[in-house]
Amino acid sequence: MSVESLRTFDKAQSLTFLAGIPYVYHCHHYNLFHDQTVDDALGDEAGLEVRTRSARNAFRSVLEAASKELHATTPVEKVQLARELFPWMGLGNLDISTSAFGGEARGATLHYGFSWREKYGAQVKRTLPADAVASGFAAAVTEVAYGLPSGSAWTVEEECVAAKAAQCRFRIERRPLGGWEEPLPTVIDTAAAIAAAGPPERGVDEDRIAKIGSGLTDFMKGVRGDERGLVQAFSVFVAAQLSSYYNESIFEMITRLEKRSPELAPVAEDLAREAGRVCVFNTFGNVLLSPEWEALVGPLGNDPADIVSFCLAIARGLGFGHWYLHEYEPRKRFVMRASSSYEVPFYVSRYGKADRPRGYFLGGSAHAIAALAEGVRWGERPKLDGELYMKLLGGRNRAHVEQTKCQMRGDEISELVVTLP
Amino acid sequence: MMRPLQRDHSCMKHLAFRMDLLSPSFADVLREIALGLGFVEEAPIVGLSKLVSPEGHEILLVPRTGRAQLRVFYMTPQEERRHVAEDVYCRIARVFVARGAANGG
Repeated sequence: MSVESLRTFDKAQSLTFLAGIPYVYHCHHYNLFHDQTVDDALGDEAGLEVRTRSARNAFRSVLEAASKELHATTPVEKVQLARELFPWMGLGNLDISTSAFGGEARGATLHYGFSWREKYGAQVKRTLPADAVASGFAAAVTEVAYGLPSGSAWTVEEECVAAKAAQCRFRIERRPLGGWEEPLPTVIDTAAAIAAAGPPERGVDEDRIAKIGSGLTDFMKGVRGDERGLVQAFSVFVAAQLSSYYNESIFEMITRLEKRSPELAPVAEDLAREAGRVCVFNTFGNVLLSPEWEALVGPLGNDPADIVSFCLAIARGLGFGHWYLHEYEPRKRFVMRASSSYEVPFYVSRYGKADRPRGYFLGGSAHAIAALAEGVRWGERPKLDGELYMKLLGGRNRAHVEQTKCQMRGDEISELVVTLP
Repeated sequence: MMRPLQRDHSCMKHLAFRMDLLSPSFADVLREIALGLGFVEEAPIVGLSKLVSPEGHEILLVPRTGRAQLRVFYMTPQEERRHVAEDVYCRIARVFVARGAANGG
């Protein structure tokens, strides 16, 4: 059995699992923006702490489940499994050497640090490390391999490629338990994810969306890290990432701010929605413009209705959930529904029923789907740059987006109504 | 037989270039030329041919439409990518032209 065999897919809800733990595909633009969002809201130190812990908790759950499924029982077998898993996900090659007392890890081509340098390195000087995900992973490997309690290992990235080091270098250390106000990790498995989903209804243009989404899912089955542990597809770096990493870090960011500075919470919420907009603009946009897409679906035209359907198919193909089209009136109104979305099970399990709609990623995504459909002449090969982003989604051109139904609030499905400007 | 090399619409730094075919009917010729130059073919999806050079550069070819995208290997330093892309393009174009001449074109 191999890492490959750990992957499963719930077709009805368009959810993907690794050893029974939900994961999705995102590109480096989104991943870097997500991490920056957490740091912007909480500050560099607290942001790094939240992101590292979120990664550790997420990877702990998948490593425990994968070890069980692949019968890795000894520390050596578990560390070896971890060494294979991380690059397979497209997160880079990480050479880990660890024991029950700590250890070290190194990697020259980690998804976050490498892609940060690729995207910003020529313009921005960075001193802080960029690989909280790899840090959390290394801590999780140490805990799982040596049967240590959750929260007993921590990793510090001491040198980072993003800060112009030749390779990223990590120190893994043991820490006493109970030192922080740390909630118990929230583990979402297949059963919890499916239980949180509503009925996967058919929407407008369902047959076409389902067919394309299924084709993209098949394509993604062949996606895995190359010899450096990276995935270059759709003209971006793609990584399979555990949903719980995104969820814990973003919801911890928001709930911490709500407790500490309630007046700042709306800003943090909008930052979380912005991450959804950035994802759709960059990831979905690059998928649409890629040769892979052209082979799968054909060349793009300028019909906004096509783009709406294509975006919903992409969301399904990347494992985001069963997103479907309820209503679309060009230049006026776009109503998107979801019977499943990867934010939902985590929030409900960790925080209970929400008192108001909290589908931040879903809301930002719905907004950006409408903007990409209405504002871009896809047949004319647009350039997806900052200028176009501001034109479509910048402050003065924002559509009105309202989440009218939210599964986190107890509704059977989630619904986003986008009224175009 | 190929359109001039130009940057593709990707927000990566000089990694993707278009080298589309003038007609989809040249797809087999491009494929043969690339294989002759040491590229290895993969088929990640029906309708897409991925040709990988020994250096790690990739040509993604959509035979149905004639679209061809050159992806320079991502470890190539940013300042060298344009030059590397031009080099790959010229190597292929030279064989294209030679074949055309040999066929009386």
